[in-house]
Amino acid sequence: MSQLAIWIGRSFIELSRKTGAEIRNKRVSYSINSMAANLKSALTGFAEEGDHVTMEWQLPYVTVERQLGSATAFLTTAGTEHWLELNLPLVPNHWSTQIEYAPMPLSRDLCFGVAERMSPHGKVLRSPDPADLDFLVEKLRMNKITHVAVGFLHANKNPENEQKVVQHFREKGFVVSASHEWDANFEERPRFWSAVIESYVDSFLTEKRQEIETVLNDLGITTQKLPGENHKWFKAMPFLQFSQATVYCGPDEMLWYMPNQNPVWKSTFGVLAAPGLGAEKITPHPLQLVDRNFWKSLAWSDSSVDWDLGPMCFGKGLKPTLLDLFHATGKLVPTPGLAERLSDKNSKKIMDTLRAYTRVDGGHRNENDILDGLLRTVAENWRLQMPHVGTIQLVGPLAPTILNIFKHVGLDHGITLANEDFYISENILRLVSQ
Amino acid sequence: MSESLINTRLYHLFENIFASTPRAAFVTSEGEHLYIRGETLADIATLPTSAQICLQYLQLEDGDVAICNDPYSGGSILSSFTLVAGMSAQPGSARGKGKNLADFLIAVKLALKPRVTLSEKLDQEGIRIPPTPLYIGGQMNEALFAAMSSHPDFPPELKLSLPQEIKKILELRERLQRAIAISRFDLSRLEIKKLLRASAQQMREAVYELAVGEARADFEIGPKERLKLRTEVADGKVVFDFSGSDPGVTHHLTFQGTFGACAGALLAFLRKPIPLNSGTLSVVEVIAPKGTIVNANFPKPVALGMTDGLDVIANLATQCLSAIDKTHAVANSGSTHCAIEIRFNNGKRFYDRVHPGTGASAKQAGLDGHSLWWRAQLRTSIEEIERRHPLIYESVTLRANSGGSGMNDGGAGVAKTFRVLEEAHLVWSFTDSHHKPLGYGGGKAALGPEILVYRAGSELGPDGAPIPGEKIKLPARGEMKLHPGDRVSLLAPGGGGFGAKTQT
Repeated sequence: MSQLAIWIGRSFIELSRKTGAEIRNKRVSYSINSMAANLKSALTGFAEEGDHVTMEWQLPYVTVERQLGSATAFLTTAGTEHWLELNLPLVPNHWSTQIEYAPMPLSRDLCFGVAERMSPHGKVLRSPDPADLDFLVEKLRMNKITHVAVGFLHANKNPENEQKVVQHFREKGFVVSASHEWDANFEERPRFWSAVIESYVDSFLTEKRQEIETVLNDLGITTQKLPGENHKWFKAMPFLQFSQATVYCGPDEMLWYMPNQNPVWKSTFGVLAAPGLGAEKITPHPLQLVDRNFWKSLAWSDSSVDWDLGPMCFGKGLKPTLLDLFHATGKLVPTPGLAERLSDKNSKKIMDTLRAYTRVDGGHRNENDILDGLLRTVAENWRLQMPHVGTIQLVGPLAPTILNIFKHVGLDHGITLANEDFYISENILRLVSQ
Repeated sequence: MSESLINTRLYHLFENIFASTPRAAFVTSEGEHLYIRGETLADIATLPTSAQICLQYLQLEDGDVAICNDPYSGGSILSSFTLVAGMSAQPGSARGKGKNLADFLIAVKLALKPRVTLSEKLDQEGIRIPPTPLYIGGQMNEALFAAMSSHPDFPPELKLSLPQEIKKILELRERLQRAIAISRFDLSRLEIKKLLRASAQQMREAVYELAVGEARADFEIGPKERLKLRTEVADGKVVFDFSGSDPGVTHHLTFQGTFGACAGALLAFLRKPIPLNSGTLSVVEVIAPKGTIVNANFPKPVALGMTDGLDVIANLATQCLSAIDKTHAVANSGSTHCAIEIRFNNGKRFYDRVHPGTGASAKQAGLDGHSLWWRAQLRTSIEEIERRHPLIYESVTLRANSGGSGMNDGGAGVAKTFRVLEEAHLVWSFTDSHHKPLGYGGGKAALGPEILVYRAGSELGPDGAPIPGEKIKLPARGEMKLHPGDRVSLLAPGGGGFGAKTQT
């Protein structure tokens, strides 16, 4: 019997298998739409019938970020139905007469007030009326809503009112999450949002989990430990703890981890009580698009291409990304999982497009200087966001590429590659073995 | 290396270093503003001016820190304190002015809970601190700090946090020095002039994209308190001329406040991410006659002018710009935040306000419940407020039908109602002009602001609270006693609608 660990990250699947003292690793890229097929193909020839599998994934976070979840109702203290929306960050983040709230995983039309009230000290001032709840049940059924999040003021002091509503809706067949299930030290917004996202991601992740179960069963891997027991999708990830300052370098995310970092999740719509990945984001990430900025200098924009669609160097996109720039300037190291996706088809087009951008610079510099300038700006930006500690290790599929860029611009002091190729799945395996 | 690339690199350096400091500026000792980051219109010009004035009066050296909040020395309102730290390009290497005088200044704003007062003079709005050396030669000036913090109006939260804030601004200075050295930026006067010239050139090009022309608008804040504005867009510059405006009665702004509101309006009208520095701001000219609403004389109180008044100016400027360039036109946004303060008998005070809705444009409806001119995130928690103060929020919601209708509707303002549980004293002051936020091109005007008090009735509701009794509509400013069970409703104005609504 061998132990098998699977990590489904944002764009890569990692596999680690331990037989006796030997550990083998594998990394493949995947797309969310064909996740099950990609996983099956990766496991074929790597795993064996009878393996004991433990799987973890980043998919709950990806589901929220890419808005892949499904409609959920939010029941809150009457009179505060708009409270979450009114506290959303604004976009764009510069002065503009056309501003909007950041996208949220909740529709205003599905926020309902419940006539209930709890005092700040946890005394019930008003209990929810079952007749009011029945009315809401009918309303939600008419709208074909199956998932409900509940967030009442001061439920962290006394969850009685929330529990009554949770029970009422569960008895009627709804999948329900509630704010009191999260850390009571958080104020209402982080708790409410956590209840909302738990509900929001449930349908999508349940479906993905079932697909994976089928794949594993087909391969005869029937002893399974998969995420999402009892519809709980967000939990601390101890296998993402590092003993030294570490930067994870992926194609569509760069994250830095400090030892013992608090896993508070700073989402695009606010801080959450649900634990995050325990990392800080570093920008720009390699899939951000290259564009001209206010000074008409070559820089990166806030937009990025989707990993599933791919950048130009995968023979797909039309606009150059930073990854294309790394490829065009010979800095990209084709590590496993990345190499298979690279295509020469668009190489000329990438250079032509980047050349076209460089012409706007006023013709004072040649194109190599301009591309070099952008590499320098990117590397400086990364370095400024990294922690000020003695040594930082780079891990992940793009780690050799990122180190190349730091070296190229002379900012590699104190930055090293991890001793061995790093696999999150191997960390999972270690924890399972303990 | 081209100016555009250096500007880009330098901008990202500042964005990273100041990422956790939302209100900050980096200024040269010659008064050039290399970087400004703000959350309010006031920040745009007050932060760099505070820095300059501190240097002018205090001869700050590398590592020295000064504090000020005086609106007439570059500050905004008395509850906003600015810390200014001196910085050399490299530690111990000032650019040769004899001693180790700072080459650069870092200004950081510490915004505390504002006060709502009915003062006639600035000094009644709180403690006024002119530029004061607080941390000199690596040491806190303890005697001065003790004297300052023993003043009855000195905010107790600042007394506790100030040493930590000084540490933070000095850390920012160290990070900046290190980053500038590692990246080998040449920040000589000549280079800085070149960089700012490049920014000014790009900004002029952005303004050239606007239609050329002139427009006038006025706004009556109250009787004998009229604002007049003539705006002219020409030759890549924008002039905002307030000649003919009345002296302030309730609203008084400093020149820096007015400048920030006009500059902010232009930036918002252009809708582009534009870095703020002396170069980009050089296209803005503001004519604000001394002694009028827009350039008040000491000791006029500024609390209302430098909050609501900034929104009034920015909305008026946007109205003029919309008249000149119809392709970017936008309806008026709400101009007041209906600020109130409740003083409880235990000495605690509760401050609250509500966001107005924004005006609609041809492209989109106005935003509900958030001011166009206030980029700070609301960080309040209902639970925390209810724990700290004897009051209960009954609703925090969108004010129904408060946005003007139109082809695109204006945004709704916020409506908040809370019930006090103990005897208290209410003070309020807001811009209750007869001007409603105007629609544009056939769009309807929005509802104006209101503050209402509902006295507690004699009967109890289902939650045990007294049902509302007598309703009192409050005038623009005043104070009154509140009794247990009384409710206060703050109703923010909406934004104007855009275009005529088509019949379906």
